[in-house]
Amino acid sequence: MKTTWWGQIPSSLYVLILFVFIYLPVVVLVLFSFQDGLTPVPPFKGPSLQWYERLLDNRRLMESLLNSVVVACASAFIATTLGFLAAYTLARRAPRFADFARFLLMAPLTVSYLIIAIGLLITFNLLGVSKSLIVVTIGHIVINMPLCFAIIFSQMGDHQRNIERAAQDLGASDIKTLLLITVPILRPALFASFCIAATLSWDEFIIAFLLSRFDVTLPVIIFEMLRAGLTPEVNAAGTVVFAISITTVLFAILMSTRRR
Amino acid sequence: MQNNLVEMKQVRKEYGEFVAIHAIDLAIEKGQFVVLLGPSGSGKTTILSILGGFVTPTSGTVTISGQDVTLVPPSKRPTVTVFQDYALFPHMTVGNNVAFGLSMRNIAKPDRIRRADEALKLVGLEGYAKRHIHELSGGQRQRVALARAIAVKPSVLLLDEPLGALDLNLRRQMQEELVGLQKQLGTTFVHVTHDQDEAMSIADIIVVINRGRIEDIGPPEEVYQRPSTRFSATFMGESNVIEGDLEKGSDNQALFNSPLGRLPLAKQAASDKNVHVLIRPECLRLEKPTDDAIDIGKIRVTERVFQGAHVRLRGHCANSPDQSLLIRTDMSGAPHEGDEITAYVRPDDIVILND
Repeated sequence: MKTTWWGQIPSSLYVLILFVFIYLPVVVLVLFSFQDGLTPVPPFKGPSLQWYERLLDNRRLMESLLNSVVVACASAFIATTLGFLAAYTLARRAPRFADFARFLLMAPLTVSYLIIAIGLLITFNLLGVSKSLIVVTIGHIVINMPLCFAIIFSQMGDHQRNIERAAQDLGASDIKTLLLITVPILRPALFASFCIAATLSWDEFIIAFLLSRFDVTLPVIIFEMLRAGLTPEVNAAGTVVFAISITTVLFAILMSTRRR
Repeated sequence: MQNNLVEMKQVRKEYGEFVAIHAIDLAIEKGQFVVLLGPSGSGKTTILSILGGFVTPTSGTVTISGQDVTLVPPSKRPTVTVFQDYALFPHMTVGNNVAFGLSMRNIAKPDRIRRADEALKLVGLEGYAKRHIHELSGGQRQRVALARAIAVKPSVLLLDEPLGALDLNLRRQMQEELVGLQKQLGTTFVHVTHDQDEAMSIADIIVVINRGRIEDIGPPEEVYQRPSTRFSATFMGESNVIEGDLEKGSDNQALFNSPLGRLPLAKQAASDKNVHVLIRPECLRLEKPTDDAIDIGKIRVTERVFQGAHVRLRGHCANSPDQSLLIRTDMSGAPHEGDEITAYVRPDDIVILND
C-alpha cells in the first residue's frame, strides 16, 4: 500500500510532539544557562557565558564535580567487575540454584533508590560507619551491580563458551582463559556496562544526598543551589551534568556497536 | 596392548535418565585415522568429548599412552580438539591464534613464531600470520583451527565434524588435505562425522555408532562389504536387506531360505529363524559373473534412475512381489522400466547381519 504525503501527517505530528515532550525541558535548561540576566525565565536575553564563569569560580561546586567523577568511576569499575564475575560464574559454571541466584542478583533493579538509601543509612549506622563519599560509592555499587550483571550476562553466549574451551584445551589455566580470552572478547559489553554505571552514578541524587556529609557530589550541590533560589547558574551546572552524561552514553553506544 | 595409544574401557555416560553411551570398549592404535560415524544423537560427539576431557564418563576408564586420563582436565591432556564452529580467538591475529597453545607451554617467543609459521605452512596458509580472523573465509578459518591444534603437537587430534560448515567442493578438498596432513604428521586423528562418504574416503578405521553403542568397527572396505549389523549395513551406503531362515544343507553348507529362493552361503552358519542378510546393489549382476553365482529369479524393473557413471534400478521379484530390490549396473545395456530381468549373486556377497 502506497502512503500519500498527507497520510503521513498524523504519524509525523505524533513523532514531533513526542520529541518536543521529551526534549523541551532539556532545551529550556540549556538555553537559559546562557541567559544574560538574573533569572532563568523568559524572555531570553543573551547569549552570555557569565554563569559558566561563576561555576568555574565556585570552589565548592568544582570540588563536588571532581568528587562526582571519582565516585562515578570507582563505583562503575567495582560494579562492572562484580557484575562480570557473577555473570561468568552463573553462565559458565552453572552452579546449583543458578536461576535463583540470577533472580536475587537482578531483583534490586526493581527497588527504589530511596528504599535502598534508607536501608544503607540504617545499616551503616548500626555498623558505626559515618557518612562519607566512600559510603556513597558503596551505595552506587549496590544500585548498579544488578544492571552491570544483566548487561554482561546477556552477552555471554554459548559460542564464546567453545572459544574458552579451546583455550583451556590448548593448555590455558582458568585464570589465563579468563584474562586472555573471556575479558577481551567481552570488552564491548564490559565497556558499555562501565559507562552506563558511571552515568547512573554521576546523575544519582537521593543516595548521594542521604549518605554523604561534608564532601558531596555535584547533584547534591545543585540541589543546595536550588534551595537558595532559581538562578541561571543552576541551569549552567545542570547543563554540565547533562553534557557529560550524554557524551558518556554516546561513547558507550559507539564502542559497543563498533564492528569487532 | 602396547600398540594401543588410546583405550576406552567400559565407558558409560548417563545424563539423568538418558544413557548417552552404553559401556563401550574402544582401542585406537597410534598413527591411525579413526572416524566415528553415526547419525545425529548417536553419541559420537559425546565419545569425542570424553576423549578430549570435556565430559567425564559416569563409569569406565580412558587411558592415553598407558596413562589413566579419565579425570584429567582438557588442559593437561595430550589431546587437542578442533571444534565444529572452529572456536578461534576473534580478538587475536592468525599468528597469535596458532601460537596460543605454545605460549601456554611457556615456549620462548622466537620458537613460538617459528613453530606457528610451520603449522600455518602445513595447512597452506603461509604468510597469513598477521591477518585478523574476521578477514578470513570459512575454509581459511578451518585451516587456522587445524594449524592451532597441530602447532602444539598433540598425540591425539580430535576433530568434531570440522567440515560440516563447508560447501561440497571445499569439503572434498579438505578431506584430501586432512588425510595428507595426517600421513605427513603421523599423529593419531579421531574424526567425528555423520557423512558416510566422508568417513569412507578418509578413514583408516571406521567406528559405526548408533544409540550409544558401537555397531561396527574396521577398515572402510570391510565395514562396507561385510558390515556386522543391520544398522551398519543400511547406514553405510545403499543396501538390500533380506529376511529369511537359515538351515543346514548337505555337506554342512548353510542355506538361506528367502523370497529370493534357497541361496547357498559361502560360510557355515547355525540354523536360525528370521535372519537378515545383506546384498549390496552392485553385487546383484545381470549376467552370471562366476560359475558359483546363483540365479535369484526373475525381477520386474519398476524404476530406473540415471546416476551418471551407473544406473540405479528398483525392481520386484516376480515370485514374491513384496520383495523389492536395488540393483546398480553399468549404463550400457541397462534395462528399462517394465523389463523383466534375471539377476545373479555370488554366495560370497551374501552377508549375514546381526540385529
